[in-house]
Amino acid sequence: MDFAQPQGLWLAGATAFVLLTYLVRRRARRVEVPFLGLWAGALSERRGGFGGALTRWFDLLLALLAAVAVGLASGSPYVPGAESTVRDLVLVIDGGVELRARGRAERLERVAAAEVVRRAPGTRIVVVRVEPGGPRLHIGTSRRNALDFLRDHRPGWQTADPVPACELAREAARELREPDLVFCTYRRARPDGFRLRTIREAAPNAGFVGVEVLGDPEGGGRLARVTLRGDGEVSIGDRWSGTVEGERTVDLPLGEDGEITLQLKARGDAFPVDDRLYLHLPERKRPRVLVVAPREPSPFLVSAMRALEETGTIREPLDRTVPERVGEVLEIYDVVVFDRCAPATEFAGMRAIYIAPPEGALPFQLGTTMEAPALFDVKEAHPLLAGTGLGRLPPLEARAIRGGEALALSAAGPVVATGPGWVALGYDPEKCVLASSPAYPLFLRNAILALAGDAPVRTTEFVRIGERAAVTQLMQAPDRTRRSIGARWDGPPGFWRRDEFVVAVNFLERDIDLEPAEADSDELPAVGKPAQPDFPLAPPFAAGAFVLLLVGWWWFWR
Amino acid sequence: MIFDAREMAQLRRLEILAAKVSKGQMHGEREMKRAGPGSGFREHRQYQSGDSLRQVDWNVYARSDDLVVKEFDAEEALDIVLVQDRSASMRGAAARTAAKVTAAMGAIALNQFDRVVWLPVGGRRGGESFAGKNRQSEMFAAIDGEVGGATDILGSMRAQMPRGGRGGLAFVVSDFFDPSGATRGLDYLLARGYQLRVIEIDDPEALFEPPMGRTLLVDRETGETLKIDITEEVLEAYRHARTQRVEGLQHFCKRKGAAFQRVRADQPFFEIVRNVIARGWLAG
Repeated sequence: MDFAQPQGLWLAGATAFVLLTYLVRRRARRVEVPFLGLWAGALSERRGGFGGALTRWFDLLLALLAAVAVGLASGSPYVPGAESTVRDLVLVIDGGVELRARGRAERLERVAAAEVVRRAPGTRIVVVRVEPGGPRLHIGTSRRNALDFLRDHRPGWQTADPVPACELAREAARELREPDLVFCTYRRARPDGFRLRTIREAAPNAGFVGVEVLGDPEGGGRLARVTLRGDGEVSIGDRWSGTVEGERTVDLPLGEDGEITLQLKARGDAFPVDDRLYLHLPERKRPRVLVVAPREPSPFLVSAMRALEETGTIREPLDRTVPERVGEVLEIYDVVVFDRCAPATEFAGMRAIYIAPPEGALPFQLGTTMEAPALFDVKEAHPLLAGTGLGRLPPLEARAIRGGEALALSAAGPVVATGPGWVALGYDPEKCVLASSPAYPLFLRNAILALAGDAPVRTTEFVRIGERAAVTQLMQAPDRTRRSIGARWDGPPGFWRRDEFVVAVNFLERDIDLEPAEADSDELPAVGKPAQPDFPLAPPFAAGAFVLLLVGWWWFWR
Repeated sequence: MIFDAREMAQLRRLEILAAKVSKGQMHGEREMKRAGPGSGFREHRQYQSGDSLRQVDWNVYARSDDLVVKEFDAEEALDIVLVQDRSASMRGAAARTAAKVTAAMGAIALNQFDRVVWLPVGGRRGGESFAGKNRQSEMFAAIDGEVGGATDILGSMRAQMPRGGRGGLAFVVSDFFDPSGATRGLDYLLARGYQLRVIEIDDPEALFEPPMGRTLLVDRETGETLKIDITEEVLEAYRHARTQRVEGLQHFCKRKGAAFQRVRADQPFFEIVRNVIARGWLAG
């Protein structure tokens, strides 16, 4: 119990003291008697019992309790609301060939379902299935849908690589609020053993953490082999700390109870020999972008760069190819943006974005220039163009880009195209009808992220389309305004993927704060406790004081 | 004046009856059962050596030549001890009634030439002896004085009783609210050879029962206090203790051969006199 106004306690004490003094002095009426001995004798006849003492002091006790209750009520006491006992959940569930054995998948499903059911309404649940064909993903706040997703297990015939799924889960976990990361495989039958928070605390700077529980190679007891991959100072609890450059492996002896410093809360036989557990914790990659531009880059290019860190700029005159200076710094940057210019020579492995490029060492061919081309067959659903609306922004002039995948066509040919390691825009956005549209910065951002090798699916871009693969998802902004988000499934169809319904879209920046609409929250009865507001205790205390005073009044006058 | 004229006239017609009288030193009106100085002829007896010749009945000697002496009934004064409770518990009607009873006994005793030893319990004055009718007013003034102090019958007896007392009749007028024990003082008088007549003043005010609730009881005599929660149980216990005290006093008197009379403080004086006459304490 806390007090919003602690001074009420002082008032309670003072009230009790004053009342006590008052009662002691007030209640003893002074009566002269001719012979006190008779009363003393009478008193001695009925003295000596606890009941008698209690009776004599009962009214005083009532009054004191009432005073205390009034004082406590004046202190505005309250019971602090319970914090949510469960956190968001990122559940990685294994779906490799090992689970084809009878009963294993069902058992794993039960374990995972128990984790899901524990969550309170409103908890965001991310489920990543590790499958041979690649990870499958579910994200939402509906536990029922999450359970349906869990039941939809179809183990493959090959051992599934868990690293991509863990990477995906890690990305999802970064965006959630202190989630529990639970990795479920058949061999690791303890899904609560590996918490993301624990790993974060244990190795906050590690880019990769792998834990391999070894047997007894030399009779020295079991070892936990922790593989750290990344750069920086790493500590594993109080067991080990050091510098990791690249990759480093640390062997930690397991205690008698099989517990390691990583708080991999496993005991004894829970870890069979050579059991292996991966958790990929890559740092979020922020692409480093080199902008090769005229003396003043395009406004849309500047606005796009604001969203990205570690950018560099080489300014060159307009309509010139860039000399070899790019090659000198190419290793530093992930993506090079050629703004109305082109490299003079080809650079191996360079990932570049070309915007209205002139002739130069380009991975594609430039067509003829055409004035005011009408755009058609714009692939708005493509991750590069999602949300940009480029089709509604006809350029004043454009050059066709031949080679690669055409994303938008005009009468002159493709004007937006992409290929291995490159994305090209065949016209200058400044020479468009609506040059200030945010479509171009978004296009540039999508292109940079795609070329930089960042995960093609980002956490805030997950969206569940619905059980029947609807093409839109109803979302709501923090102000409860709703919006339909278009999406498409871009995964390869497979034998086990007849009814895919979890897809990802690239959210527009304005939609980052969107959440699934409430209509999606058809929850099962909660097992976990959601956050509760503070419960004020002043009214009950005041009522209690009133009742006590009434009882005391009755006791006095009865 | 403690008595009006009518009451005084009634008192003059009364005399104290005593079952036994100790041998006194004063010559009074009370006719004794033994020979002694007096005016009533009792019998003749043979002259013995040592008898005074003035006691010889010479007429008998002249007629029968026997030398006999005349004996007379002794007429001796009686010591009447009046123990009057003048403690603080006796106030109001109780004090007034106690004073009148005490004064009445004293007045009757003085009228029949008995010596009165007045022993107050409590109060400011000490004990005093009175003899002769001319000291009646003085005795009344002493008896009708202010009340105060604590009840200690035994202490008062020990402090004020004249040395070498020859016994007599003792009237003890009190409410017997004696913390040290009322019967101890009575025992003391009995041990000194006094015939006891116990008059308990029953003060209705003392029967006052405080209302329910927490009460600070203050002893009127000693000032001692007692905090008590007055409940029905306590009142019942108080009534029981009060009854037991009275019954204990009566039982004591009966066992010791002392006469006991209970007098209500608001009882009319003539009714009190009538009651004690009926009990054979007075004759008139």
